Amino acid sequence: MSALLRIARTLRRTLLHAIPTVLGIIIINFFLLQLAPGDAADVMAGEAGSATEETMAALRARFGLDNPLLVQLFDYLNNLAHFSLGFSPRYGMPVMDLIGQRLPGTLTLMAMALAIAILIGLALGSIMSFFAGRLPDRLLSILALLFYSVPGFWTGLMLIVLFSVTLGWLPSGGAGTIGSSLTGWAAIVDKARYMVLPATSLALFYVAIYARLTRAAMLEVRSQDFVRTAYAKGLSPVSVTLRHILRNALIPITTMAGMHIGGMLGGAVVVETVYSWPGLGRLAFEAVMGRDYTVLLGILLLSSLLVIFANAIVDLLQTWLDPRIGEH
Amino acid sequence: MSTTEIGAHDTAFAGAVPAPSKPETPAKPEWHNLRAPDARTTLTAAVAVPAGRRELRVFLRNPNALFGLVFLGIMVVLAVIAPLVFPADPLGMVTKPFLWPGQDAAYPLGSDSMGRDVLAGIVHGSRISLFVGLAATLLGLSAGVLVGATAGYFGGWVDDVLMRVVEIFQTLPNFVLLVVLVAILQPSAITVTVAIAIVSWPMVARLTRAEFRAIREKDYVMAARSLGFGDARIIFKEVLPNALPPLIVTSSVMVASAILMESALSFMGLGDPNVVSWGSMIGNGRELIRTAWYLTLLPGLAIVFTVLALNLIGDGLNDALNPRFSEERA
Amino acid sequence: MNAITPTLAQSRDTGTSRLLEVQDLTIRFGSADPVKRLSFHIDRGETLAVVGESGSGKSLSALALMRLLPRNARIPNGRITFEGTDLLGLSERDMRRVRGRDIAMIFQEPMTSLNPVTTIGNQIVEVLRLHEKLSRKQARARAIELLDLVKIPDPSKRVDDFPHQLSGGQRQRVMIAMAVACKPKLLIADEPTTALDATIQAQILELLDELRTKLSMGLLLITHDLGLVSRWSDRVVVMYHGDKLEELDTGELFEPGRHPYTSGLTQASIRLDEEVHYTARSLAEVKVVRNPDGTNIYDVKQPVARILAPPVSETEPLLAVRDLSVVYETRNRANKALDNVSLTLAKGETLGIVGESGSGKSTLSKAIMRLVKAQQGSIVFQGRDITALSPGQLQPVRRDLQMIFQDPFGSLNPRKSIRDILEAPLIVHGIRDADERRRRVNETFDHVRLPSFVADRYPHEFSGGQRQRIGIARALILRPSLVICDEPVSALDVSIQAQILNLLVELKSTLGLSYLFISHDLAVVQYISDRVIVMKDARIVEESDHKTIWRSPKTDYTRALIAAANDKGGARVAHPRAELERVTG
Repeated sequence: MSALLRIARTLRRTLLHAIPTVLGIIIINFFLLQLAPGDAADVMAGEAGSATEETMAALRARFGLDNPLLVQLFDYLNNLAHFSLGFSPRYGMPVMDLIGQRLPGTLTLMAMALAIAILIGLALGSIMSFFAGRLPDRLLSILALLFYSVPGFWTGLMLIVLFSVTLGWLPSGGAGTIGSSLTGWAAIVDKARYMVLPATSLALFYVAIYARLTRAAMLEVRSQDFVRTAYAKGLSPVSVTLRHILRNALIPITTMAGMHIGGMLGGAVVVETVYSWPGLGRLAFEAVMGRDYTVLLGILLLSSLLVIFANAIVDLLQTWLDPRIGEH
Repeated sequence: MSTTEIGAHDTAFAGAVPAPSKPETPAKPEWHNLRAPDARTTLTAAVAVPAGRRELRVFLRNPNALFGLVFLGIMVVLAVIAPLVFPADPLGMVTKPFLWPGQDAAYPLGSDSMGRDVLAGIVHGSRISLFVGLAATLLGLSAGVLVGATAGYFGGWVDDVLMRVVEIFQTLPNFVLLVVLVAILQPSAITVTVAIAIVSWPMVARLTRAEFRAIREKDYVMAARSLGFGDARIIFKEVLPNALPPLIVTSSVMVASAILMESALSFMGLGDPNVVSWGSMIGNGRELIRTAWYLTLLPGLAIVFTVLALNLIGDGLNDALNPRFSEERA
Repeated sequence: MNAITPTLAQSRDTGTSRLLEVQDLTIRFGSADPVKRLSFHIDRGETLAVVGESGSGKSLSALALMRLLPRNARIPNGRITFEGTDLLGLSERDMRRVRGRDIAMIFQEPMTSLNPVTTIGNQIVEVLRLHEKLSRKQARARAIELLDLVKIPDPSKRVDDFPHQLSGGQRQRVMIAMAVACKPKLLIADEPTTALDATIQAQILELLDELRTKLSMGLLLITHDLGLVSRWSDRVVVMYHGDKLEELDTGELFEPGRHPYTSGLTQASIRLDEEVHYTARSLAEVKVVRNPDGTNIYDVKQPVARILAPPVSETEPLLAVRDLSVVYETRNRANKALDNVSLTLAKGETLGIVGESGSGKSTLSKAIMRLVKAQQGSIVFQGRDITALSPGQLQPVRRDLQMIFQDPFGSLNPRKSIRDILEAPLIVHGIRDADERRRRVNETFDHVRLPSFVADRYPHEFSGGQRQRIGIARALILRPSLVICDEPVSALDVSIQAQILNLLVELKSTLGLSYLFISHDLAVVQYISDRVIVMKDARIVEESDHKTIWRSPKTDYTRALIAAANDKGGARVAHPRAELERVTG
């Protein structure tokens, strides 16, 4: 059965499966929105400074905020279908646009953090499993456990203290040198300088998770019969580890790794706040401070969709890795 | 073969007296090699499941776990006696601001921008962290085990529906949902606890379901059904005791992550405003990071060590309860 | 290649064709020595069988030859000489050259011994390119040749298949192909057929023997099955708990004057052609007693002749199953696990059900026990239709209908003491008085020959055979009339099998039981059944009494099953070489 056919099958299955979940999330989102104290009219009144009862009532009527629940739900769904997440009075623009502005920042940060976490985590985990039970494993395990126990915002702050305040090597916040007009390679390097600390702060926790995950998965695979067969054929430990163990361990690793995308999004909230990084996370913080629930719930919905999307990719990746999936 | 042979090599039952045999039943069996496994396939010669005390011994022999246990114990004691040792309100201004650690013997960890005692803050901060950690974990465990056990044992459409709900909650990014919930419900110790519980229960449900599904297929559960045991008896006496080990390990990790979440929320200003918390201390010290970075360091260390202690305990529990991986350490 | 078979004179020569010499090999794990001072040798072109039950150390010895022991194992003393080279003194790098090229090994579980994410072709190519200088193309062509050699149909297509697309027997053939790819001088086969169906087992053994002569290899066959040994090996080494008890030519295996353990094993193994039946005699039991100084005393409890009356047939059968069907619905299709099965069982009778994996025999037992829902058909037990009873109505019926399970390690709740396990059914069925319960538990202990002072122990403190006795005790504690035995001895060593079978026969007459005895092992079914049913593909294909079915089977399938059991080693067919020796002297 060709890999492509199996992947296509999995794609269809994943999409079908995701629909009820998406609906569920949307409905929860809607109800959370209803639960939020105050509504858009209150926010607008707040922005304006004050408002009379009549103005508030008029605003409510205009925005359909006094309609029965089901009608509001229908309006909400209708809006979603037109890719509208509402309007933020505070920022004076549609939520969708607001999110669209900030999304790339978070995505780049997460991509970098993910890359760091996977590369270092997998490498560390492989080494740990190779030396299982012996000194290198014990030391690295404690290191991993340490990374796993540190709150992301504190890492961020301490890294600033070390690299920015004390050593002065890297900037302490923002996404790029303000007012500069760098282009090409210089621009990329500049951007990278600003990204190193936040990405590392975000990644550290996940380095630990992936390292421990990789170690466990590889130890599990190592105890299986076909590894013994590989050794019996005369293969060297390195060949066995790379061609037989790692290849099979990737399957449970990708399964579990997919579950942490949502966590990383959450971590981004804190890290972006610490580093004033212009992304969704910081936007969420600002929305909380300003009691702008529309924006907040817009972010919740969109990040959930991102998670579903990421999970779908992981599913497809798994199908590609494991020839047993997607058979008929 | 005489019965004396039984006593001669039967060290396992040294001192025990065999029951007298009745006249009509055949001769007593000779008992040899009591601990020798004689099952044919390696699959069935699975690792022996311990009966409680062995697990405890393995756990206590693990130096990391022991350190974690001791440290956590100290933390708990501190949290309990905090009002006795530091009776004054930790949010009260008691001295000059910006005292560095070691500058003044009365305030060994210094003071913050408002002249508040850092040491008092840290000791009192442990109360909210441990309270939220334990309470949220208990809530999350209860909900998760209930849902997971039901889904895993009964299967069918019950399983489908419950798992769909679990999946929805797992898809909502944890921390974002947490922020949303606390923001909407207005921050307080209770809302933070409930919100963290809402965010952590899905994982427990998944785990419990997996365990129940696996154990339900075991022969001894089938034997119980064939003997006419009711569902309740099977769930509580046959399945649950065997599903506990991974749950025990998970609970330790859950407390750790609950503390991390609570501190992140307080850092962002979404914690209980009436209580001093490690996270809020760090949040307050954030602006002064260039000059008074000890205000960030010290509460952070408190978080790190407490969470580390819990994770060490969790790892120790895993090694003790899951013999397979501990073999690698032999 | 060399001459096909060395002459006998050459094989007796201790110089020129000695392939492997093991002297005083001891393997140590922590403070225990699972293999103690083992010595044996293999010559070119011969098959040496190492026989032992579980815990004998036979597999560990094989792994030691390949230096594939787990990391925490030590070899404190011993020599392993392969064609003059001391294997234990080689560097790891040199040993890797030996593995796969000079000495190869195949393992017991074909379902898990192949890498699931690589094609079988690639796995064969891997070993070829490791030891020989071949290009990709050449290696692939060789791989296809090898698949043909091990009789995989359509090899040029199947070479790109993944392991999960092959059956168990085919996977074992692929393992063999990988093992012989570089024409090793010695092939070690560790229980190569245990996990396969009877019909496939014979084919694999035949293939191994054929390759041995074709490639002029030595074959080290590790097994617990004496029948197999008698048919396929030249010489035998018998092991027990790390000690080598005896080494002999296969032809001498069944002669008198053997080590008591060996003769105990041979007598305890039931063979199809001997037509032993429980009504005629019990089975021999092996007894080993450990002395305080660490040595063992071996003895054989001889079979006891019996004269048991055949079961009395009353008018009403105890169990009558009619047109029973069970269908499992999976995502895409319906799987018929049981297809219109009908049978009757008289009181006091043992009905044997024999079939290979997938035949539906397990589903049948579960359906009768109402553990699995039947879509169609009826089950009438003690004159009452129990097919559609509710759990509440079924409760009193369960007292009379009980089951013994196959896996002694999975059938007891590890967190309950034996007393709890046995008293729980009594509590559930309303026996409130604690003294009465205790009395019943002790009584049942007596029946299964367990000392009652072990009642407060936990399952992990017992061996497999002892746990099976506890499982039997649990089934009997409610005093049932019908006991379904689902492969009760399949997971046990031969010597323990005999004990349990004798026990079951005894209990049947003492307690007036009737049995539904399910097994894949024809010899066991032959011994213990009054009537026999053969199942295949969820259906019953043949039904007969215990004499007729073996002597004059009606269907081809039954004939094939009997033939396979005999080919595998059921029949006492003297090994050709042993026969030749006997003649030439």
